[in-house]
Amino acid sequence: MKWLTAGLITLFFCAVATFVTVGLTANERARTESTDLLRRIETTREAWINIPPVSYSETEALAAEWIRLEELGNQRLSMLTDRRYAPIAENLEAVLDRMDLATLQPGTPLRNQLVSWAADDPRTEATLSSLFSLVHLGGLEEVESLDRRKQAHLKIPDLTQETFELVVVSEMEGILDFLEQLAPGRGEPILSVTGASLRRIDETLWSTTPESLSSPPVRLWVRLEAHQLESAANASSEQGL
Amino acid sequence: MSFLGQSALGVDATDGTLKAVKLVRRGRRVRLVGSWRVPYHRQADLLSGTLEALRMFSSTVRPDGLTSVVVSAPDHQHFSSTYLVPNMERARLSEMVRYEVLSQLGVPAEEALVRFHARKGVSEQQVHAVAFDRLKIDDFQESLRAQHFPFDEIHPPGFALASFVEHEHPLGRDRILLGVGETASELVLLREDGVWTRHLPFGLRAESSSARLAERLASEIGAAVAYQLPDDTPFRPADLVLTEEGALSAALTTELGRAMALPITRFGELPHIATAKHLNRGGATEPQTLAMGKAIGLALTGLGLARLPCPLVQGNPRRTAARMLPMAGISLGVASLGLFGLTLLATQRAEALNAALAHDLPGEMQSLYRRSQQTRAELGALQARADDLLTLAERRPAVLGMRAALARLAEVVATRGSDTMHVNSAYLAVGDATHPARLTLTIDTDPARDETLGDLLSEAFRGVFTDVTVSGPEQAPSPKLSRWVMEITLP
Repeated sequence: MKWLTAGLITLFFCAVATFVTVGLTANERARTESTDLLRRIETTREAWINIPPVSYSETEALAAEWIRLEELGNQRLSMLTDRRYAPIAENLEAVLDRMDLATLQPGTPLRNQLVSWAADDPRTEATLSSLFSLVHLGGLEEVESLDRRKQAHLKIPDLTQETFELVVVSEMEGILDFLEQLAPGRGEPILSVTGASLRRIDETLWSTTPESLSSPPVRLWVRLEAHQLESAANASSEQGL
Repeated sequence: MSFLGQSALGVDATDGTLKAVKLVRRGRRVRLVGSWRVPYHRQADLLSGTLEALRMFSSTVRPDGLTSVVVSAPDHQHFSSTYLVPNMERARLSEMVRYEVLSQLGVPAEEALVRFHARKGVSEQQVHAVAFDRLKIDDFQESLRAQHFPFDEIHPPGFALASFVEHEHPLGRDRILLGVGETASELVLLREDGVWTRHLPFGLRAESSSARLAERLASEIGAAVAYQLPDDTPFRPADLVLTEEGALSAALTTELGRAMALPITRFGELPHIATAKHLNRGGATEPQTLAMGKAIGLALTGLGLARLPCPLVQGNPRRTAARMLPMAGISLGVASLGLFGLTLLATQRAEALNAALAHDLPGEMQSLYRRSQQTRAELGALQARADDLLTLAERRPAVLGMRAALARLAEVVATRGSDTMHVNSAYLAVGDATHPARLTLTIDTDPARDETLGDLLSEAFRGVFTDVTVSGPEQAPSPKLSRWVMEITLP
């Protein structure tokens, strides 16, 4: 009986101590939490009034659309910059040295201009190197001029833009081959034509036979844009290409 | 008192045999759970024999602290009477009864222990008063304490006997109650207007013949009726209730019935007290147990069921406190559980309130709104980016369209024969998201072919290009040549 009494008294004092130390604190905390809850309710009510409601489903739909467009853009960008079809990057001087066109010989104004542009910006050098590699491969007879234009049709994020106007002369077949090489899908830099004009040069040389559509020489004016990845351009800049 | 009920032990040791019963009360049910019997009438000194029997009993039974123990007072000679008194305050009544008893006894106040039980009526009350020798009661009390016998009350045995009979076999008529023990007897006269008790200092052992004992008892009863009862109301007993050892004697019962010319009532069963299946019998047979009227009455007093409770010595604070322990323990337990529960509830409530509403819900709403707005803005940029990349990719078929258009034109040129016909210029304008790519072909030709050339050109491009506009002829800058212009929308 004594032990039972002592146990009960101990239990009671433990209960009192627990209530005093924990229960009263918890009660006070509950009271504070109640006040906080009322304040939160009021704040939330004001927020409901002031902030236009956005449902989670709508947010999720927006996020899904964001991901879809991001992936779509990345997919298109990766297709355009697929390096499997890209020509081997070469130094512009080396490309020009291989060509025997009169206007591109060392010391000519056009060559000097090209070298100057290439020295200013590695991206420009990469573009010019790629462009004149195509000129060389197409076997074009003459490069009359190459001008830079500031205006660009497409300004795409992640890509740098440069605009050039090129005038070349060659036979129709070579001109068409060259023009078709200036189409996206050959990796970086992405060369694309925004406008082109074919004209006969000398009317007296016009033929009267069907086969002569490819001859005599044709003058091609082409305005083209070159796009490169910002990251690739930065890497090229760091490598000093 | 136990956790589930109330228990009481009635101990009577006034007539040469210690008789004790234990009753347990649960609600209105009373159960007899034990009875003990210790004869001591063979000892020369009855008082020391009583104490020795009590010692043996307490060492054997060891009454626990939760059981109320009521002991009968040693009765040598006591005074008993009933007074009809107007209703009044208890203190004033006590003083009046005390005065009345002492004046009747003619002894000093310090020598008499006066107690009474008042039954209230409409305008007056019956006061059943008893007076014992204070010195003997004090000695008995001291003796009990000296041998550590636990007790709560010392009670008049006559009132205990009356309480037993009133509880078990109430009749509502005049009765004579007689508890005949081995060495002493207890006489109770019950009348409608009162109770009178008397101790008879002889019992079964006083006479060898039952007839003589019956005559002697009848004589004492007659004397008591004549001496104690008031004459204003006749006493017509309906029966004589016989208990204790005398009730076990058939001869005495017969002789007493003959001597008193009254029916004798004995208890062959207890109508209002159930008997436990496993009755703890300490030397008592069932008939002996059923005959323990005084002991059962004392136990009923301990349970609070006595009709005539009149304790001579009342109260043992430690035992009273001990009997409070279960309730106090239960109260402590309940209080402890309540406090623990309150603590738990307060903690849970605090947690529930804390979790009821997100703390930064407005911030989250604002953030969600901003994020959705930002996403909407970015969606436009992403859509424009995807569209621009598509436009860039679609420049390829536009460039390739130049060769296809010229190939179709070559079919027309093949029909020129010796006539002049040549392409003056081809202009390609690559489209964008809103404008398709267009190819403009300018043909200079001999005017002789003007009539059919338009149809030929339209026919040549039909099926390959969906949108071809042929215009001409116009005067070409070169003399003697017509100019035709074709506007071709490239796919």
